[in-house]
Amino acid sequence: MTNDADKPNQHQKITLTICNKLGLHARASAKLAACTSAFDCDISLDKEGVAINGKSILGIMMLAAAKGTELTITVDGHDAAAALNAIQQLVENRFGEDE
Amino acid sequence: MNQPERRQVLRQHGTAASASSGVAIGQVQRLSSLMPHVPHHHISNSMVELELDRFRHARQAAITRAQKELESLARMEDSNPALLIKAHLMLLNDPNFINAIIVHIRDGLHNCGWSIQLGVSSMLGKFNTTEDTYLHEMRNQIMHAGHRITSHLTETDTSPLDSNHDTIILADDIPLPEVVRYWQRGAAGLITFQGGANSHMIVMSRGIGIPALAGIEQTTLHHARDGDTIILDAERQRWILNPNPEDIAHYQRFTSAMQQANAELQNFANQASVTLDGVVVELLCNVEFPQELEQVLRSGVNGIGLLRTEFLFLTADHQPDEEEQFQFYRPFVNAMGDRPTTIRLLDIGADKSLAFDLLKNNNYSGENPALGMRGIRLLLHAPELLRAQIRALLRLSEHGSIKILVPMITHRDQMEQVRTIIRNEAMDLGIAADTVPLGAMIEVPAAAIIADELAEVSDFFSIGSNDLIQYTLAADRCDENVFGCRRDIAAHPAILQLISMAAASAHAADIPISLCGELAADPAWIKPLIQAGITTFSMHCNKILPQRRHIRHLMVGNQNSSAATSG
Repeated sequence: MTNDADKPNQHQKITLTICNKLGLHARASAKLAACTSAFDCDISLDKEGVAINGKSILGIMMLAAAKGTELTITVDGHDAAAALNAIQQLVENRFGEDE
Repeated sequence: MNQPERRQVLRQHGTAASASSGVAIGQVQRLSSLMPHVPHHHISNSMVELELDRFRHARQAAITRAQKELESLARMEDSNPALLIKAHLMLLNDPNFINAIIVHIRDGLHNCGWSIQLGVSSMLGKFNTTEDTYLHEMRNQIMHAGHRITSHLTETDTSPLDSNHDTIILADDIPLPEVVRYWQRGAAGLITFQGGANSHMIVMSRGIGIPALAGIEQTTLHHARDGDTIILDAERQRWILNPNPEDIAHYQRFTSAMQQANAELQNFANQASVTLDGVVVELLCNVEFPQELEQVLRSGVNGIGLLRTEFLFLTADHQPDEEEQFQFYRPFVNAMGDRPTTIRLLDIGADKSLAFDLLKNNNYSGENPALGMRGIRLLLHAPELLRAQIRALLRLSEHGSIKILVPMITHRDQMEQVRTIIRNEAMDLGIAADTVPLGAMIEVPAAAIIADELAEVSDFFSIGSNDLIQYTLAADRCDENVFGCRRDIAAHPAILQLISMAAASAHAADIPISLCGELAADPAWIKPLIQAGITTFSMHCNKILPQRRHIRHLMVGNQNSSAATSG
């Protein structure tokens, strides 16, 4: 989770809506945690003022984010833009689920 | 293990849906249904590092096992079971998850197993209490991740139960591995609220010889507390909570009479199984798990007639590989020495569900499992599974005398396919395949009817009477309404006629035939079965001695003519 010193830090924030029918259930949480863990930058997810470490599957599961939940994703680090992009794609693709 | 509260004790009694055998008098210990039972004790400050180390090792073992499972699912990377295992793996590696547990070791000074329970409970407690199915699923995954660690602690969690008195475990349900564990830890008896006539907990309890009851009406035994005295009467399928002195005296007389009867039966252990008119009968035993071997050896059997191989698969949280299977079967073969061990290929699908439900998630279970993918049908569709088992058995054949039995045979080509696989695997292993007899299980009417044809491709037959009855009479063995009159059902002439047909075909082809299932253990059936041409019976080892005594007092009469005419 350390930032690469050679590259400029990026700090970005975005709000996404969980749109798959089942919400952030265990398998979707696993996919999201696998995605976030692939990046060096710090990632936090915020639901209604409760922020968790976006790389912790337990944290993601504890958010209990059902369909329609708004999550604010904050990324901080050299690969922040790429991380945000990947997270956005995963959420908007409904974690690869049909509905 | 809480102290019982002072309160009015009320004598209560009731019945159970099913029972093993024996009687136990002891003190109730209730278990939470949520988590596997783990002992609780406090640790001293100097023990903290040691306990943390136990946690580290168990967690590492859980991770290794989950990774192995994931590898076995490599072809289905995005299937639901694979994703759930991934979720478990992530939890096991998640610092938040780990810290939620070890805080209870480090700060709470609880033992490792208990800390896992506390940690999991606190994590579950943080969810909103709104009942939502998907929340429920996530809670389950957190619980399962905890179980995964706990299951690697168990080797050291075998401390005896309270030795000051006999303990009777009372729980909603007791998973199969736990049944064995409680037995090993010295429990006097087991009672579960859940479970019907075919409860696996009861089957297992019967096997290891621990008194047990399953299927209790909740309301009646609901207010039993830890420390209450209870009489567990598995002989008459009843229980008495807070018994009066007369009850206790009665049961003490009963248990001593039973012990005496058992001691007398033991005299038959070293006698031959021969009828008064000289028919030599062979008695084999059915076994399921290694813990039964002691009792098997005491009953003086001619061999193992049916080693069921489901136990290992039902209790594992992953699919046992070739080596694990080899190690599991080996004690049976070692214990039997020169006497043959007949091992039935995995027969899952019907009334047994796998803990590791890989097969189920692969859509192998149909609408009507008894008529669906089970036995050899399933194995031929899961060739990896079949090959691993066959390789384990072939390797085993170098350590003793084994026979391979194929369940649910309906077609000749099924036997031929299995034989081809055996031959190929034997060649690969450099083992002579011809030395291992391959037998067909006759448990579907079709197999009995074409027994002459099956005899051409089989080295022996084993009649599975339970399924043969179920399939011949279209009577569900799990349906308690039908099960209640089972004995009458078996008396249907079709049953004996099918058995006679199979026996006649076996004799004509000069291959051995035996019979297992409940008919084999029923004294009333021995004579008609011998008359039908069956002289080898396989039954649970606690039925061997009574059956031998019965046989030694039996006149069979005209054996051959009967075998020739019936069928």
